[in-house]
Amino acid sequence: MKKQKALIIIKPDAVERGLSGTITKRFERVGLTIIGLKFQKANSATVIAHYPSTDVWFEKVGQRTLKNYMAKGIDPKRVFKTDNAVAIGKQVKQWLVTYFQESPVLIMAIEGYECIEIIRKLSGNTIPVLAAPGTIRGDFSHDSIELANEAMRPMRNAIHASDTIEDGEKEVALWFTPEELFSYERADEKIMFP
Amino acid sequence: MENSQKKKLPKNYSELLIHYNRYNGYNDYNNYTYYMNSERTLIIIKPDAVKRGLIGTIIETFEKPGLKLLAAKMVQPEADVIKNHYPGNDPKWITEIGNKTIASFKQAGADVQKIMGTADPLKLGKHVYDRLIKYWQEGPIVVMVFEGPNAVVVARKLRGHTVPALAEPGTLHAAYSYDSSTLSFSLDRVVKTFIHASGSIEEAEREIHYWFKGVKFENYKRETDDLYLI
Repeated sequence: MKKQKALIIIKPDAVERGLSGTITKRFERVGLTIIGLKFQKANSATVIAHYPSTDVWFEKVGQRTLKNYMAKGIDPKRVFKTDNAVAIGKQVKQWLVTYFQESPVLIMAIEGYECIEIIRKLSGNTIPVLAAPGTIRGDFSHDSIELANEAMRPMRNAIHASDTIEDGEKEVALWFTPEELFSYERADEKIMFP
Repeated sequence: MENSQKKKLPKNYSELLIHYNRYNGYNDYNNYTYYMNSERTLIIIKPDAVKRGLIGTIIETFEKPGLKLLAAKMVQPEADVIKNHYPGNDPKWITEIGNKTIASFKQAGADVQKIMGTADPLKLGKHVYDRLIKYWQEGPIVVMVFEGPNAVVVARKLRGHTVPALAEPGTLHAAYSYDSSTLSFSLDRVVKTFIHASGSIEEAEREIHYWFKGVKFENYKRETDDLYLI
């Protein structure tokens, strides 16, 4: 079995609360290896490239918001001045870019067997109110879609964690140059994987 | 940036702080208290701690009292880069290292001449310096800058005594290592002092400029800032 790579970003809400180390610890203690790490303000172009810019993605994001508004009986036009899913998706992406740049962020490339599944499990549901206790988002964040939409901002969910094996590869390559990535063996590696 | 780097550093403590805040573009923080209280320190997590998965634990320890992470990067530098972190070209400094070695042998009741083949501080210092560089090269390291009132003292206190076996309980060096001079000398290596923390404000500024040359640190607000800094 080959090791997988994943990108973890500790987002501004967690950085500003001084949770960078506490969250990083959780990925280290399961045995994953941090092969790249930097703390800096995210560059606009990188954040824009980080999220898809296809109409399919905008539509998906927009529809999710519309569905939520419908359930709550809120008129989307009141917030977005439109009820077009793609236009709403674009607005949400703009919010995300602003959120990512609110403070510097801790960007990490993480490697390990079944890395993607493990980091997703540790991170918990992307919507903090739905994230289980014991997960990073369940333990360290509190936000909901309703609250975020009401305040016209993206949901603050402490971390980004790559979604799929392909995303992991792609995102690590987007945020790190090959010179910023290292290969080393953890002290407990042979105990975990003899 | 280039010009301000060439400028002579102010001597006086408060001038020094104001100088560095201005230098790093902190003019938007027009708060005198903030200027007066901000201080920076350089922390390096060395290869053994990285391999033990202690990066998060170490960052957490410095974040908890409210110190603000300003910069961090994982690097695996060439020997020369590590050598220049220390004043290795200064025979005085090398001799001092040698003298420290002699002192720790004496403390352990061991004969320096017999074990090391010399009792000359300069020769001993060079021997230790070589092994120190070797230690730093065992794997990637994480170099960081933390900022906050009394950052240098606070960080040093949390790290504890340089020699882990002598570190006070509750400090990182005590909690995560049993290494001592006797053990390290018997294995012909240096004591694995897995966290470097600057020793003084001047040293911190020199080291920060060395490891983060030309980097403009982005400021942001920690949750503790408005409780203690205004």
